[in-house]
Amino acid sequence: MAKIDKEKMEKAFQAFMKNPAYKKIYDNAPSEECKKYYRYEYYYSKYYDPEAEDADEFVEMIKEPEKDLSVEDWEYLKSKAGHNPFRAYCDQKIKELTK
Amino acid sequence: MIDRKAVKQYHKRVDERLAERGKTFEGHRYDFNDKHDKLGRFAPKSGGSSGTKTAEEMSRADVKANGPKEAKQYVKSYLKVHPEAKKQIYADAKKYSDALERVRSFRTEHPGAEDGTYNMKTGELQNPTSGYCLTFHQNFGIGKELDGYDEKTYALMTAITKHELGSDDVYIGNFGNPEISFKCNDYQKAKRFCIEHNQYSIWDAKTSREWMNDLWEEETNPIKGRGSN
Repeated sequence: MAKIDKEKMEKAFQAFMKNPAYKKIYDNAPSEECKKYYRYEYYYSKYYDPEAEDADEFVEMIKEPEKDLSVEDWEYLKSKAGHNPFRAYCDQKIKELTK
Repeated sequence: MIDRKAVKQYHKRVDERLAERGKTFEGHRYDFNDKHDKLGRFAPKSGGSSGTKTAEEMSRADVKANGPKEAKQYVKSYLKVHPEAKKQIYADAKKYSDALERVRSFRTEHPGAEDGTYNMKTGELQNPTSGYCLTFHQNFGIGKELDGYDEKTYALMTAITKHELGSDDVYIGNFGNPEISFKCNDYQKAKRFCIEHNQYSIWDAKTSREWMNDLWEEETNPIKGRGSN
């Protein structure tokens, strides 16, 4: 089972925090849950290996903080999303939470 | 004119950040010496005697210093280093000669089109379910995303990127501002290209997640919704 390596997670976090644009996004996140989400995303960006045996488990593990996100968090994530399908994913989550 | 100091500082920052992870830059890198070629460009220390940059020596630092117009030089050096691909590149560039216009007019040609990845030629919605989606396009500025490119250079960049990434086709990603998009099946190659062209991320179509480039520099490729924009 894939498991978060805390040391690596901190390293990934520090690497992203050196980038002022990413730091600003992180610092302005509306909640600690949202910040946790970003930390997992940085970890994913640094350590995901699609060739690894546990690649699928790794992706599932990275999704873990999503369950604690609020509508406000998803709206923030959407506002900071790149030009890719993640925007639609945020919309779907907002819809699910506001049913 | 190349801002040599800015490029050197940028290289230094990238190297420092990579060294912290025990890594070195493996992509194209433009090295400098004190000489300029006859066009006023810096000549590389190695890898060519003409003073023209080779594709291997290119890095996104060039774009930082020069803006998207540097794509012209990228095209020139790429074709010089890959003469075997020249014929194919020119044939594809002809095929994609309207690429810039198609991106520019996507909204008016497809009013109300939902977010998604569209085939550039047919306009069909073709959201990929595998591979890594990315672009070479660097925004000139917020609200000026397509400035800085000309039709011919854009078509050649389209052909080169398709060739370089082994993309099966050329797409338009309609997420916010429409932009040209490619699909690469090689994760490492996609990541390297992303860094070289100062993109902020690539989209993993299989896992539906974004690989973010912590080396992305906002000032040379500002993205609406990201960083300070």
